[in-house]
Amino acid sequence: MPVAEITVPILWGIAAVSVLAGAFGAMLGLGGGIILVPLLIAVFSVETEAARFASLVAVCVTSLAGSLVYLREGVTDLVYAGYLQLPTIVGAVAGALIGSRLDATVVKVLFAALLLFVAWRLLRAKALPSARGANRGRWMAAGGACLGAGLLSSLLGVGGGLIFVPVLSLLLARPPRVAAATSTYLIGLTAAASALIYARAGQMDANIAVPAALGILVGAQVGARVSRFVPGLLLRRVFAAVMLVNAFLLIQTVLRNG
Amino acid sequence: MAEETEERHPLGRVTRMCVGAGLALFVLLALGSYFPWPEGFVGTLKADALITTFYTALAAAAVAGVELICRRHVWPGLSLLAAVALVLLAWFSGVTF
Repeated sequence: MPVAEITVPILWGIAAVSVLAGAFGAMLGLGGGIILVPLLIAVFSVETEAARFASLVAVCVTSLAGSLVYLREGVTDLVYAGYLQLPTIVGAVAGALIGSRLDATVVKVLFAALLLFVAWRLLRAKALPSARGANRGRWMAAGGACLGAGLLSSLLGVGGGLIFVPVLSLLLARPPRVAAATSTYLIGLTAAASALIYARAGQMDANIAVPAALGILVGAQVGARVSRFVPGLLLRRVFAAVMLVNAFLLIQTVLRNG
Repeated sequence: MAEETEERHPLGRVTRMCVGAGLALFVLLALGSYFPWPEGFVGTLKADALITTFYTALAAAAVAGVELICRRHVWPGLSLLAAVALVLLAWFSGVTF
């Protein structure tokens, strides 16, 4: 969407949708980008590149705000974050370089596929046995998964928490809260790396990114407080429904505009 | 390995201060960009707010890397610093396909 077309109601609309994305994201331990990107594209007709950049900024801000709390509580495992950040950044830089040349339609289709996969996983979620310790093989697998998370994050503008949390809790045997805190820390630099490369490629739109980041920051605070009152199963079902609706809206946008 | 439910990670005090300062600056700049400043000022503030978040994430990672090395976690510290260096390299070189 060109800068000149942004009116005050659209600005408030973007902020409101970002609050919703931030609240949902915080309730599920995600950055919120997976909700924000399809809504910006489908509801506000924002260009795919601008939506992806806005989402990366929002994810970065959410990560900083969340890390502030988790670091104060001492639950972020910086040692594990240190080991995992390098492969993640390699993936993120590669993803941003590919993403800055990738056709917007391909990004939308990939995003719709990701949404459908997440919805399916949420509806069929069952507890997996976690590992008792981390050995060399598990670290190698974790590094590979983080490389993929970085790639996915920068290509689609999502945080990557969908991959980091299972890697940390299931592969590397971190407790759930430590896994969520460390994932929150990891997504910050990952999103910043991709956003910087997209900004360099001329895909930065501050008029969309700033209200989105402010909205998601507010939403994350609300979501963190509300989450304890919402039953987990209900939350998963509502989130899966939102993912399905978003996937439908994205596919509709692809069919309509290409 | 520490107890799974009770483990605490005392690292990150300086990192936390860095994140707090950067986040506060972002909120100030982002909210400030909506005040009726003179013509041409608003665009600058919005871009500055965004750049602040990226610098903060980079600085937080660099500081955490140094903190880890100081606490004798040399390899994870170096890994974090290498990640920051890679981001800066990709950004400043303007590498593209």
